[in-house]
Amino acid sequence: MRALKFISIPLIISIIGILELARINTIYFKKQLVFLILALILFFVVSKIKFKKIIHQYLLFYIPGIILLLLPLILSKGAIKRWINIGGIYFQPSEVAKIFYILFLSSFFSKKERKKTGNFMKALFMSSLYFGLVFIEPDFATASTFIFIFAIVSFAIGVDSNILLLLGLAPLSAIFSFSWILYILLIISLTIYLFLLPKRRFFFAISIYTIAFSLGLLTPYIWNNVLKPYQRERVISFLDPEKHRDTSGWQVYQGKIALGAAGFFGRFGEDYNQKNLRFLPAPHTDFIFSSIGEDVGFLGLVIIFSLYIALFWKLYEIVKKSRKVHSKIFAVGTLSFFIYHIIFNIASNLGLFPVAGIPLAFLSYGGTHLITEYILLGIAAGMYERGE
Amino acid sequence: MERRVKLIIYFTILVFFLFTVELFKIQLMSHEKYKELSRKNYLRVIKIPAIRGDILDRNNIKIASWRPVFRISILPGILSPNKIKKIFSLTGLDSLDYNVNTLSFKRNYITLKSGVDFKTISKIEENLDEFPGVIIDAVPTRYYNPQYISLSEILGYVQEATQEEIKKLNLDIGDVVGRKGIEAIYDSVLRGKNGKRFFIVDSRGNIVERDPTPPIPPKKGKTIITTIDANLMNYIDSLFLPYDKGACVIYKPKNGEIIALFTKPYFNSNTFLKDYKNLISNPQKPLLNRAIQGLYPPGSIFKLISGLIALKTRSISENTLFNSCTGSFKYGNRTWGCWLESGHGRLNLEHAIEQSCDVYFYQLGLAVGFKRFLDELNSINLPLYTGIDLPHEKKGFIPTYNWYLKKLGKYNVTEGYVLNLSIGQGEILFTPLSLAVLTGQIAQKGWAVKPYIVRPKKLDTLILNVEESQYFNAVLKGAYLVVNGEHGTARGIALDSIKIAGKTGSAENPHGNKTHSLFTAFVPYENPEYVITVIVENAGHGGEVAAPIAGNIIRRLYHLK
Repeated sequence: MRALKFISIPLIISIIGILELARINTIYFKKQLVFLILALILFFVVSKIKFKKIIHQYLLFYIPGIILLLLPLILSKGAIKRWINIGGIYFQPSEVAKIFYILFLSSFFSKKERKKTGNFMKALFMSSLYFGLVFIEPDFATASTFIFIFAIVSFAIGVDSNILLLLGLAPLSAIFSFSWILYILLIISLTIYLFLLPKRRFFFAISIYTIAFSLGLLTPYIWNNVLKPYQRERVISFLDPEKHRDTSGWQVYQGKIALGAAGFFGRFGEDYNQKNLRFLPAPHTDFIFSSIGEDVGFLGLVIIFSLYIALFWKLYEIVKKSRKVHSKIFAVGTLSFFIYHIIFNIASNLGLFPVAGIPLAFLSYGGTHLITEYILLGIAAGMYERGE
Repeated sequence: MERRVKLIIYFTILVFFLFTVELFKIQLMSHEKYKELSRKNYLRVIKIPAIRGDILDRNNIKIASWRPVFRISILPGILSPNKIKKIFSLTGLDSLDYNVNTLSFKRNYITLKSGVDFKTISKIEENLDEFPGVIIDAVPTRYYNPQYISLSEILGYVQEATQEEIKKLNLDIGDVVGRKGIEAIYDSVLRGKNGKRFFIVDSRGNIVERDPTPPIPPKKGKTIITTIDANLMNYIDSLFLPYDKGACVIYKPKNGEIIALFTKPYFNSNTFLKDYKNLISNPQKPLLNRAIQGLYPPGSIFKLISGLIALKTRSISENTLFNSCTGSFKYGNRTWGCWLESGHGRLNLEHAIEQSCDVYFYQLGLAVGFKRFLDELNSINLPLYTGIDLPHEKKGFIPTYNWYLKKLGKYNVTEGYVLNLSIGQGEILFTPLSLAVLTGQIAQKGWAVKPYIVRPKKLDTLILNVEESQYFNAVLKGAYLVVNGEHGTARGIALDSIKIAGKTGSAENPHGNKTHSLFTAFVPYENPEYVITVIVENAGHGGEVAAPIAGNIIRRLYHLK
């Protein structure tokens, strides 16, 4: 029961979430309540697992994750293979695979000399199978979750910053390639950076330019020929929601109205708000942040922000106080998991990022992500409590 | 490792700080804007059309009022294309007029059809559950008293405003504007102010609450009282029964009131838009309000003016006798006939007017001289355009000397043209209304109040510039003799109890075999109260057709048998 202090904050957030779901639709409330109870049970169960003895067998975590990712690709019949159906319940294996992936990373880097570039490249190579399998589902949002976790963990364990630059350059050149000014600025700053390096590194420079040029050319091609129209639309509508308010920007536009009309204290008591009159799209999933914001206003949302930051701080303390490397790394992975989901969901509600179907931790309706979140916390708490 | 993780945490807190700034902007700084947008989302405003003001005749008979017309509106957003098609078939609408698929995406109420009959309404009302988003209401619609359709050309009609008018006049969609007649001229007076009704709808357009705030009631437009006598108009209509085309003006020169402004043929204001195709192709030109737009040669009525010009220029005196009329007159190498082939003998001005002797006026014209005649004609300020409060009044025409020079060439303009001019044939054109005003000016020795249908705040006077009122005496005496003289051309209409004066005219016209029959009169002779001007197209001589009509009207005006 000592583990309870680790989940006091998540529990408060979860209760706020199910209360909001009760306001939207009692069916969501009842189901989510069941999921929450299930998640709490699993939290206690996984907190008892002793990882100490098996933690060095990284394949033990790597392979189940891969199998989970293969399941929907094999079993699902639709064009989009993200879910599998178990006895009438839809289940997204890629969510659970995230647990195995974080376990794999903590296992791998706890055994190997983690700062060594060769080991880092090996981890990157193994991880790319995760990225790739989710990518072909296709599920860009989840694929980028894996990449984000990998990047944060790599940064935390102290991988050479030049190598991280090499990796970070990929998404940067892709995004900047849409504006030739930004792209040229990127190339110029890279060149300056290379000149400022204490030692001339020929192969490093070659790889930097290769990534920058190939992605700069490839991205416009992918944009025009590979991306599905709905994906393009989401990105475009994100860029200018007011203009696309009748089509794809409608959701973001209505979400902003919900937030803006709420003001400082929210419009909890008002009958004719965005949610009740069904102007707010997907208030229980993608837009639960706006939905809550409509009820509790600026004040309430700032409190929720504080709760999330408190959670991050708690995880940071686990990183700091854990004795074993693998539990430190696992806590970092869990932290990056939460940062990713929370930041990108809120950003999309505020119209700062495309709506990508990323659930908001502890708040969005859905069983798989809630259970995943509590399992991650359970493992981290268990490792810490046992002094691993 | 801790140091780097701490960096990540700080970075995350920074991101949350940026979120807070963004939230501050959205929720606090733009709060009012988003509140309004949210209100716009759910608040649907439906206009309650204002009732257009009534139009009354001088005896307060309602000639234009309103009645409710049923209207079907839909909120297309919640009706499937199939449902819309079903409504189309129920109401007898042609779905080709609307694109059903684009209709079903629109977000506001759209009026599908107004003027739906009661049977269709009840059919849809029975199945209203099947058609959510369908609104049936009664719209106050302009209705013209069908007993008085002879007033249609004065009244005009109403039509749904165009896009430009909606913008220019700040109207709502579906509002009507007046076209032609009083409806057009007094449009802003007659139009009231629309009211509003509020509905709260959800994102699918379902009505969640009706009237969350009380409706704003509409304001009815102002009532307009005209100077027209509607029953007299119908009486004139009955007098015109044997004739196809013509016009009649009854006017009070003392105060400017138009008692009747009749034109035939006329349209029906109630069915104007439905009839429009036929109206525009009808060779009788019913769209022409002949009383203010028909241009006619004044014929012998013009002899009153010729007489005035001759007296004013001192070319003749009241007693001047020209050569005897033998039924024709030789000038140059041409012979000019008088309408009476047996001839009138020797006449002075008043008797020449009484008998409308052409030969007298040929000589009068020559005595004045062609150029002088035209110069005088252009300087006496004839009321060719009266400025009555009706749209599209036409201006009459009198030529100038230069006009002849231009038309005929310098060497072809001869004195002989004054012969035609002095008897009112040729290029001179008047509208019936301007003839009536002219008659009033002569009857009152030089002035008449500007005519109107709705009394203005300030009355204007139209002056006929003849310098000295004594010049009118002989002309007026002649007009008196036209009705009351032994040989008067309209002697058939003389009355014992009241003295009528007037002048007949027969205008030649290139289109018909028979001349236009003209007569303009004023009563009583000594103290003119009414002017009556009658024109019947292609009906014969003035004394034969137009004068008896005027006689009947005068008898009715004075309640005589």
